[in-house]
Amino acid sequence: MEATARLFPAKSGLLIKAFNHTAKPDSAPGQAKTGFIKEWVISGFVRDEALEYLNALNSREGISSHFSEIAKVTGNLAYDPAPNTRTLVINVKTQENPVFRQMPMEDIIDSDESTYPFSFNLVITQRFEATDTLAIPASKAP
Amino acid sequence: MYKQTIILFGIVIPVIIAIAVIGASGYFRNKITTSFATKTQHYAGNEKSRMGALEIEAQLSRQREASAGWQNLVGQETFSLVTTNLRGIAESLPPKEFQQTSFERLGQAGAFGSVSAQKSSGLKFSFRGTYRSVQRAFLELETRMPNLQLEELRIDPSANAESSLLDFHVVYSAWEN
Repeated sequence: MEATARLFPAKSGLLIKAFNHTAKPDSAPGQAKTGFIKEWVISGFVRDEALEYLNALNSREGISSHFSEIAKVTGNLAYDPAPNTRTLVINVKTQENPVFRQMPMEDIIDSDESTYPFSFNLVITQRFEATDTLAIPASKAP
Repeated sequence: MYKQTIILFGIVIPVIIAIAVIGASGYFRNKITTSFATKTQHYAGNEKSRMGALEIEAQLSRQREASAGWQNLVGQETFSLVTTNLRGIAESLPPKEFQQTSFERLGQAGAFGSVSAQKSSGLKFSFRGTYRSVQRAFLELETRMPNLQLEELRIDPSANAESSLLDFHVVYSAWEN
């Protein structure tokens, strides 16, 4: 949750309408350890000035830099993108908001989605291979 | 008449004795130096091993405590432990910012439990609250119960359009003994 809060700071020109995070094992039977996949799917609305931010985030370097910062701030090494047993991919799609209405600046309310000219859908996928230190052991703990 | 005797006892024999003493001294000095170097080396090695052993002992002592805590945690009944912890956490948060709306014990192990021989159970619960308060609650819960493995977190705006609160739906796998 800290990662999401830092990804979308307050007053950044973005409005989140749905957030879904899943972590699932990467099924590869017969191995001593099982890798897993974490996925974040976030959708919402975006103002013109925040489009550039989303574009900067929409690259391996952009999202890796963000994850590195989270790992450093929280001490949670699961966010560290450096090990070569992990891959991190981001995909951001933006499109025009069909319910957008142009209105004077003073009438704009941050929670009103019709004041945002674009909508966005962002998917982050982080894959941990079976050789990663965080992979799940298949056997019972001794 | 005594010239040869004087030379023999006055010069030759003292020189031979002096050479023998010097040679013996050099030999013993060399032997002592070698022995000292060997003993110093052994001492340094032993000292290094002793420090290493102390370090391992301290590490084991710390791990023993962590292991005992972990064994105690996974030995308890997960459902009631989570309930107790959540009740304690809720008391430390503003009631309007953190409300538990449902709690369900899933009949089967979660996705992570299905790939491991380690025993586990699935838990599903929902909350209504502000982002920061629920984040604090999750942080506290996962700190108290590191055997919880997050499998799913969904956040939606509250169904009540006038409310600024969010709905949180969470699924955990809890590792058990």
